[in-house]
Amino acid sequence: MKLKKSVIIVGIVMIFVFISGLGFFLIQNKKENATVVLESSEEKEQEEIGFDYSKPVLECSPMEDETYFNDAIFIGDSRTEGFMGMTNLDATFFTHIGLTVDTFFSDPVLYMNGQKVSILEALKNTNFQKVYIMLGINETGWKYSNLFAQKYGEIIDAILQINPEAIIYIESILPVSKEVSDTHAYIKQDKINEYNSLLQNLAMEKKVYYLDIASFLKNEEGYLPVGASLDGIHLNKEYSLKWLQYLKNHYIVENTLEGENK
Amino acid sequence: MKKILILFLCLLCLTGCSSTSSNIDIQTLDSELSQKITFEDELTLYEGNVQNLYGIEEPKSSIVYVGSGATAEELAFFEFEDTTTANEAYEQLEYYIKERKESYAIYNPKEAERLENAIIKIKDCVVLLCVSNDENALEKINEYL
Repeated sequence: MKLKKSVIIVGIVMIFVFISGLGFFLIQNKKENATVVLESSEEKEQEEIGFDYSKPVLECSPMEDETYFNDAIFIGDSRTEGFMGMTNLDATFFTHIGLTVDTFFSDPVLYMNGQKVSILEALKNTNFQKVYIMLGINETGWKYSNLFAQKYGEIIDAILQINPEAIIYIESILPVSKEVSDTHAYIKQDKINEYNSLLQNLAMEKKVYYLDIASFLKNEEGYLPVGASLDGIHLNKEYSLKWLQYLKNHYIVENTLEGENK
Repeated sequence: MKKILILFLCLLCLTGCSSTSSNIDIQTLDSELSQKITFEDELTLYEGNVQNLYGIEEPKSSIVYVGSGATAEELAFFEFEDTTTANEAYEQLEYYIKERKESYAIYNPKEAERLENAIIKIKDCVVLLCVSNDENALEKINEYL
């Protein structure tokens, strides 16, 4: 009798242990599944985001040739005009001396079919898939930095309205020489640095790509090196080709990992 | 009838241009003047669209040197199909220089001053544009044009 009782008790205890163990196993499994599901959702979210716009385009495998730029438009002031001449890149250039984020919209500075038109009008009448913008040095004398960023944002909005699929690159404002920064009435390297921070934020806000060419070109002190320019502002041929090389090493091709910075 | 025909042929000769009749070859002009005229900036041979750059009709041929943007300097030789187009280009280049002066006056007055001495010359179907640092540029150009 006593033996029978003991067997029953052991049996009950074993059943209890078994049930507990089974229950524990089931709960654990559910958690793991939930984690797997969550990670998959996160990955999916990351895939949907596709790019961390708060960071510059990272270096990637260099372009094999320059045909990537054939459907690109370069918008800029005299520095980009100089880049156009020094590199002879087969792209479209909408540039003008003294161009600003304001005059982009208003001033008829380009020849198109025998007429003078604004940069905006020229864009509306041109096929493009990529746009490179470098503006800001002529605005470094402006009193309100946020006005510069606001106007720059309006340019991006205008471009996206014309071509919502366009790959838009904000090129950082290139550095100037120490001499220019020390002596020029309004062009100061500190101001350029401030504007570049605003531009990087703008890229994140507008989900466009930021190219940190400035960091690549500047010397240890943060200025354009001696020997890079005749006037400390406009790049000579050697440095214009360095600028071009940077673009050839930092680019985006949709639906590939080129330039991805996750 | 004969007189009309002769007159017509003479008119034809006046309006058209050929390298034999004008004796001006922009390759020769380039090889001579691009070496003799001095520039402060480093000029590079420009291979892009000169029509859009200058607002002119497409030339028969052209040789254009542009700078880095540090100065307003440039050197360009154009050959056009006929004197009418060449004259139109000459006028357009005058307007181009005027616009450049206005732009530089705001951002770089020193270059606006340099543009005051811009040289635009025309002979037959050939037009030359020169903005340089060389106070003897006009004298050098006059040897050939």
